[in-house]
Amino acid sequence: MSDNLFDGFPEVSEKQWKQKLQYELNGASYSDIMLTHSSDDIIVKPFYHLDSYKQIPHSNKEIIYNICQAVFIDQSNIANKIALTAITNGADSILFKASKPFDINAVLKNIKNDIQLHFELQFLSENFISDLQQQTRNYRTFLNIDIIGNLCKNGNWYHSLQKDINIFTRLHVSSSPSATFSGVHAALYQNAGATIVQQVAFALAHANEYLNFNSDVLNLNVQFSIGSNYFFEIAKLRAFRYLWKLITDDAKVKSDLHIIATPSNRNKTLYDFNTNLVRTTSECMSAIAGGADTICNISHDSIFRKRNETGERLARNQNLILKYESNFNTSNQAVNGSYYIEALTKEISTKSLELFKDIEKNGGFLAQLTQGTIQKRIRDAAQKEQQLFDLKKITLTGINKHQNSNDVIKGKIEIYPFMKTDPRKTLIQPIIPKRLAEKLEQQRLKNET
Amino acid sequence: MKRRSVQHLKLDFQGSKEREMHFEHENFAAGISPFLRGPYSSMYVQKPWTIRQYAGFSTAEESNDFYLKNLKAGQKGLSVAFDLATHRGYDSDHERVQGDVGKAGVAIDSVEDMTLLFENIPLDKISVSMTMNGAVLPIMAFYILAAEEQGVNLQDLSGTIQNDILKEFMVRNTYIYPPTKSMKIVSDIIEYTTKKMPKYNSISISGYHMHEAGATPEIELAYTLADGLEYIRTGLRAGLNIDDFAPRLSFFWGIGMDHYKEIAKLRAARILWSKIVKQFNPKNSNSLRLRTHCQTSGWSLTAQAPFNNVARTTIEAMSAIFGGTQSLHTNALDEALSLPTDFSARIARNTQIYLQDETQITNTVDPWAGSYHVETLTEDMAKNAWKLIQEIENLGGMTKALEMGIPKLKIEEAALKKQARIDGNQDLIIGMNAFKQKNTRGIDSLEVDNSFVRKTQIERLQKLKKYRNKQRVQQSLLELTNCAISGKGNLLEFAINAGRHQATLGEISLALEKKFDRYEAIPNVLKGIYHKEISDDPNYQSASALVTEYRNSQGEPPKIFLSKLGQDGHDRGLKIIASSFADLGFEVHLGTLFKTPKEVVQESLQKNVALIGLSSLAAGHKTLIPEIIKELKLFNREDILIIVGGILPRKDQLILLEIGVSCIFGPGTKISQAAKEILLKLIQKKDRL
Repeated sequence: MSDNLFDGFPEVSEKQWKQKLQYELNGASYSDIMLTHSSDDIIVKPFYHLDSYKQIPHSNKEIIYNICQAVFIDQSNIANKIALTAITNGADSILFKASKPFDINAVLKNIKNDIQLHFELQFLSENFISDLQQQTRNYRTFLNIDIIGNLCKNGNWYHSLQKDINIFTRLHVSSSPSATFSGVHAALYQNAGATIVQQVAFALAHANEYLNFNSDVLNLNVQFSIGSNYFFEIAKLRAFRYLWKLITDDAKVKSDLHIIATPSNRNKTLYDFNTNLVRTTSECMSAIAGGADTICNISHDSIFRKRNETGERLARNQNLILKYESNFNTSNQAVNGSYYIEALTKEISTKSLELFKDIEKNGGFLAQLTQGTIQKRIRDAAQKEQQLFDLKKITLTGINKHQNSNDVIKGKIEIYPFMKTDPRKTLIQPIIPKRLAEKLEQQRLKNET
Repeated sequence: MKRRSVQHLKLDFQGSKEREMHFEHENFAAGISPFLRGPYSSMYVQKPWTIRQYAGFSTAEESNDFYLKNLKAGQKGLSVAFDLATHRGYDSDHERVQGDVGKAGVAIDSVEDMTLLFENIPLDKISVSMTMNGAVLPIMAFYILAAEEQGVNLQDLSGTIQNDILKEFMVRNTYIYPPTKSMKIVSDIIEYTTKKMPKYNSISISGYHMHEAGATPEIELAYTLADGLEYIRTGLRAGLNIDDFAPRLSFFWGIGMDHYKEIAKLRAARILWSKIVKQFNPKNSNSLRLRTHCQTSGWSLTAQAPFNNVARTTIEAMSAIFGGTQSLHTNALDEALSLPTDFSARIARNTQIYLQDETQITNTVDPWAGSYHVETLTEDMAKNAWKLIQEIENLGGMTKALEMGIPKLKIEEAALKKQARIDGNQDLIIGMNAFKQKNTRGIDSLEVDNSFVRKTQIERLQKLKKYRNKQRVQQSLLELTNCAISGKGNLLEFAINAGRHQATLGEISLALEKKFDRYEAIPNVLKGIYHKEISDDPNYQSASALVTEYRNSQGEPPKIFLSKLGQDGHDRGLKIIASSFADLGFEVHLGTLFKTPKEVVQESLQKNVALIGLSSLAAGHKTLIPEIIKELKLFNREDILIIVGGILPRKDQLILLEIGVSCIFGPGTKISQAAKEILLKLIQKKDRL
């Protein structure tokens, strides 16, 4: 046998391969059987080949991802304890969420400054945030101040359009160089049912509003929600990174982009909830390969149980296992050169840029939010997806396929697992997350005795 | 504020010319040799991989129930796991297999058992995959006879027999006869099935067990392909045409945690196999096509915090799928502990259903193709494995290499290195040596009551032996032995004849043993490898110091006899203990496999040891260990400490400790830690005496 391993076998062109497929189809329709259409009308081919390889420029920067634990601050000292436990058990990033000001010192007590800090505040207090900026100076901090994200979520400004913008601008100017001040909470769009192209385009348009506030530096943390469509989700993050660079380079604005990714809630299920462990595993993998800087996993039981040590540990361990046992650490580089994922990245980028331009042409994100256009786009996409789910063209294991009739959940529910609506008067229509399985789960729950 | 315009923005594309890396193999396709990107041209786009969960039940009746249930639910094929006694060619009434009957699979003693196993299952319609290597002759014979009884034609039988004896000598140890004799059996089976059973796959060449024994992906790949090459030569020597049997060889890989490397392994495997088979000038391109089954790694699972295993299995399953497997078994989260329960089996199955239905990964062939990372790994994997294959070739092929014991040694070396890296915390295993959980909640596990199974089997055997025609049985067995002696005729034909006259599995095996002998591997203890990887570890150093202290005070090193019990051949754990304890300064005596309690005690007394270390996996620790203790009492040697390692249910542990076992170590125990604990116990006991 010759020692050259690859001698003596024919190279196969894209055309030859396609011909072989057509021949084997024996007259059946190539486009019906071999092509898959995504919800954004991106067509997935049965194979991708060097012959028609195309990519948008990618970065060769290796990303070593942080493993983040979300901690809700109710009492400062308890939140501190939860954070410290998470750090001992492998978290190197903490996302503190709070609905009211808290004792910053108590929350950060004994947290070493090599720990990355994220904040998600449901209020906009200039004094408090200013204090927070001061006291987190020695950390790598992400404040995630997102006045537009708050508008999307709640339908109202924190205070008013002008006041929110004024506070935002003043705090932004005074923020420290080690901190990333602004955030874009794009996860909401995915959780409400937006398509992948919509998510990228809305995140761009959303962020572009901050760019229009006029500044020469805009460091940004974008929070994305990651669904189960493995390769599309990888491409989604790559497309966003590329497009954001395109936009900021063009505007001559310096922008350090950081992406924090969280598995979606939209496809999580109340029944057979252990399958959520499988879902979040592949979703974290997508996020890492897509180049997210920080991964903040969710517990497999978080839709119906209060926070608990076991769930949080399992979620964190998934990312520790990927990092230490699976050589996933610099996985974002694995995508470079891939015929398929690069093609998807290109497709998603093209379509997202188009939609972004369309939003801008029509007055920009805020204007379209006020008109309700953004909300309508999301609603239409969500409805379409729900219909496909109802028809079982989209399936969730254990819910509309392979149900386990012995599975009962009623006694285990600690928090309301379904869509919450708050019928109050709002400036714009808020964007509301909803899980695909809710309707079927509510029916099953009713029938549980 | 005036909005800045964005309408002029344009994407910047680069084409193939701007690619940063080029690979010689990158224009190979799927469905065309060398099949880099998949054995079939449209892969999962038209039909996803087959979800094939392997399950073992103790009796033919139970298995039959399970099969019927699955077939009703739409499953098209079934997979049979046999118990250890059957694997090793013993009937259930043999004194050596007391603890093994009904463990890890179904007990088959005769045609009658096989007929029960397939009752109401039309063997011409259902494909049957059987994991059998040692006792292939009686099992194939019984299967063929069961089909005959159903009135099914031989040429309509479809399925696979593992029949991969070479890897048994390397790692799994469920062989019966020596390598060359065993290859004669393989050859006769290939010949028989090629001529008479055109739809039947006569070998599934398996790397999985090497993986589980600690081989690196490169070694697993190389040695498995080298095994395949050896089988091809065997078939050709039997006078067969390459195209008559090569298309029906299939492979079986284990899939570990190194995600991208495992993808590369499956891709490289297909190229190399094409290259290997091509030298025999097949006319049919299917002869060059590697098809495979995969199983996620059991070794990578942890007994601690078993729910972490869900993520591990998912990551591994995705490697197998991205690598282009034809079928897949995903492990249950408690597979490191016991047989899966309904609960854990459901999560394991849902893992595959999720990946097929929810992730859209089946829409395109070989999705990672072109990735600089994956293509580089593929190239490296192919080149490294090729080197290892050449090494085996230079030794004269795999059978020769095995007789020299070289592949086994290499795998043991790799396993030892890996263990040292884990013990020394250079490699982290989450929940085991890093980020440990304090109080883990146990999960419910299944247990098999094997005494009941054994009793039923023995009764059935007695009945059989009472009513059959003894003379005919003897005559047919004699003819089988004669065939083995003369080498004339096909062994399987004679085995079928013996089975027809109701000879048992044990009798058929023994008839061959008369000429072929039973093979006994001489165990060796690798020295220095463990030490080299871990010598900086403080735990290791302190354990080593304690051994020295013991030697100084007692005038001799601590002596230990290490042995496995029963017919289970998984000896990775025991070998690792032997080598690492030797490096720590123990005097280690490693027993051969398949010992009875009496033999263990005899050898221990001969070697005058202070400690007996026993490993028990699937075998019956509950029956065998008490016997050892009884035996020691007879000799008045209760001063010898008994140490047990393995996966034991908690309540069994308590029982064993009560009857006099000194220490029990579960999976994931650090070796240095265990050594220290044992030494302290030993010193304590000596002080008391």
